[in-house]
Amino acid sequence: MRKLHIKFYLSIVGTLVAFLITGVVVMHHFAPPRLAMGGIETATGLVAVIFDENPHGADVEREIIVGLALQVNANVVLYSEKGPMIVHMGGRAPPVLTPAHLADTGWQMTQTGPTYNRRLADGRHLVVHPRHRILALGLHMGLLLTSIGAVLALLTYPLTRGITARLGRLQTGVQQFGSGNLAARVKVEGRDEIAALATSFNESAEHIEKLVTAHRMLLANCSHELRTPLARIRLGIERVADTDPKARAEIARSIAELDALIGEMLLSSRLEAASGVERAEPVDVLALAAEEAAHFDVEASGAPVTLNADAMLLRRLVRNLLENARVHAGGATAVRIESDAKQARIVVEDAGEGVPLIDRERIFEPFYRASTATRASGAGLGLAIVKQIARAHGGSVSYEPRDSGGSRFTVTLPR
Amino acid sequence: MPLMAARVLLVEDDARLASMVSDYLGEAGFRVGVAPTGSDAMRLVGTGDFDVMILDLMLPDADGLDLCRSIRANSDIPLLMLTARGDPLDRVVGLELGADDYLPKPFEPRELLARLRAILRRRQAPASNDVMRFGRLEIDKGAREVRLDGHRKTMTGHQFSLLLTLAERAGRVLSRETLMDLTKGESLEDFDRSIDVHISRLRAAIEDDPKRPRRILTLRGAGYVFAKEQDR
Repeated sequence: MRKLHIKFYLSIVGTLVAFLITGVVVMHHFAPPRLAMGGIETATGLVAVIFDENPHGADVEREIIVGLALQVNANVVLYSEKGPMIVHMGGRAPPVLTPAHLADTGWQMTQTGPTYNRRLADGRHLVVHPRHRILALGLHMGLLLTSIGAVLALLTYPLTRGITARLGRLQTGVQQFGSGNLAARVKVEGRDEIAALATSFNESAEHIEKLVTAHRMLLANCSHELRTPLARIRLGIERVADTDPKARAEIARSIAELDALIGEMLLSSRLEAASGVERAEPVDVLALAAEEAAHFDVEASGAPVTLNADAMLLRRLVRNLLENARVHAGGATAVRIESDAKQARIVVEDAGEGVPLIDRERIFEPFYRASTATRASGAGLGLAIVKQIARAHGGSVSYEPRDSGGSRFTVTLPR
Repeated sequence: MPLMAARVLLVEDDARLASMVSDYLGEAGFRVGVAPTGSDAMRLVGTGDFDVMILDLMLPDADGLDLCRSIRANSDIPLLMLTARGDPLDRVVGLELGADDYLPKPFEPRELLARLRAILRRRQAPASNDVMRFGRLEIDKGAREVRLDGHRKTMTGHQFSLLLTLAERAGRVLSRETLMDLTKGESLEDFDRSIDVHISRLRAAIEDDPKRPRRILTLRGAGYVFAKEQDR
């Protein structure tokens, strides 16, 4: 993706190279050589007619051959059955023709290039070897095309770079937005498709920012609007003198549950929006787990391990696992901290019924209630929050049944 | 200043809650004035008629955090922040901005009373830099004494040292060896053999239920840990 301009550029250069090769090949094999070849065939044919009609002396034949060689700018060799008879060299080595070569008349390819071979009536062969001229012609055309190609290649680089540099800037803006800076917008440059893309990104970003802000405001206000009446109720039951203490305790408990649910919903949605941990500090996980476990009358065990984590969230994670065990399994039986070089694990075990197979996949989903769970048990956000907190720290949570019955929840956090 | 006659400025925009809280605090012996908005609060703080302030974080005309900052710029009135925001950062930020304590809504009425009294008491005994606070527990390094809910708890000198050693490293697991090293110089003779005994004496002094400790926890095979978060 980052090399898009290179790809663009390479495809342009590739096209140019293909164009050049095709050009040179066409030039070389067809157009100008064809012209020269036609001339050579005609001239050689005429010479052959002269040689065939009237036998001349070797001197006259040599003179005619020199004339032919000059005329078509080629090496000309007159072969008898024994080998080369008369040679005119234009400064290049004569083609060495084997009897097999001589047997084939017309144009043929030899080691030194295309060669025209005409059989005379008396069995001799007139061989014309014009390669020098044709190659030079090909080279000229090739050079011309190559220089055109080079100029084009130089000119198209800044062009493609320009297009993709704009895409790069667009991408930086989008990335900023994606990493949580909802106020990030991109600059709209030009009036083409990229500019249109930038414009629609900006519009979408605007919309998303509005939605998220509204959502945040709603949550913040919800918390206030719900908790103020809760505070009034809480204060109210304190001031009703002659209420049954049991009923009073029940109302107080319900208020506490409602309050906890509001808190969990807020926490959950905040964790959903955040991409990581806001406040990390060195945390002694064993000490933290021991503190939380003490509130549930469970002893933590294991070796001390220090992680860089949000202590408040980690506390919440341990508390939720313990709370889950308390509600569904009559309390946790063990809280263990295990660690190795790469990770630390928080293991919470209970001796309850365990989670039925069909529910295991889904117990970490918000508001999912296992099919065996009773109606009066918690908000259903506890384990979802455990998963969210583990994720925020780059870790994970898993469930497995214990051999002796009951559940084992394991939170794995990177060290 | 007698505690009971303290004058409380309650900054709360919900009129019904404000009236209930002032009735409740009134019955507890406080005199209460209510400010429904941030500007009222600023004006009333300026009069100097109040000993302590309860500030709701969400007000119609001002952000409680801003208000907290501007009050702190002019006055050092003890300040208890009352909030309903779910964001735990608010608490941290609030305390950094100069609030003395923090209480989330909906609160236990008795807890409101306890916290109000605690911050008033703290203000009466200045030089609080030497005092470490863990919820209801105070460890006074200057006076070398320990208070739970304001009541002094008796303990021997090196029990205090042991407690201080633990508390200064709250939230960290300390092995028996580390504890011995750290409290070295204090009658070390029988210390290692009796460290568990000292811990149980400390628990008897500062735990609500020494059989179910919440403040000094045992980690089998690893040592002891002094709980960092005790106010819940």
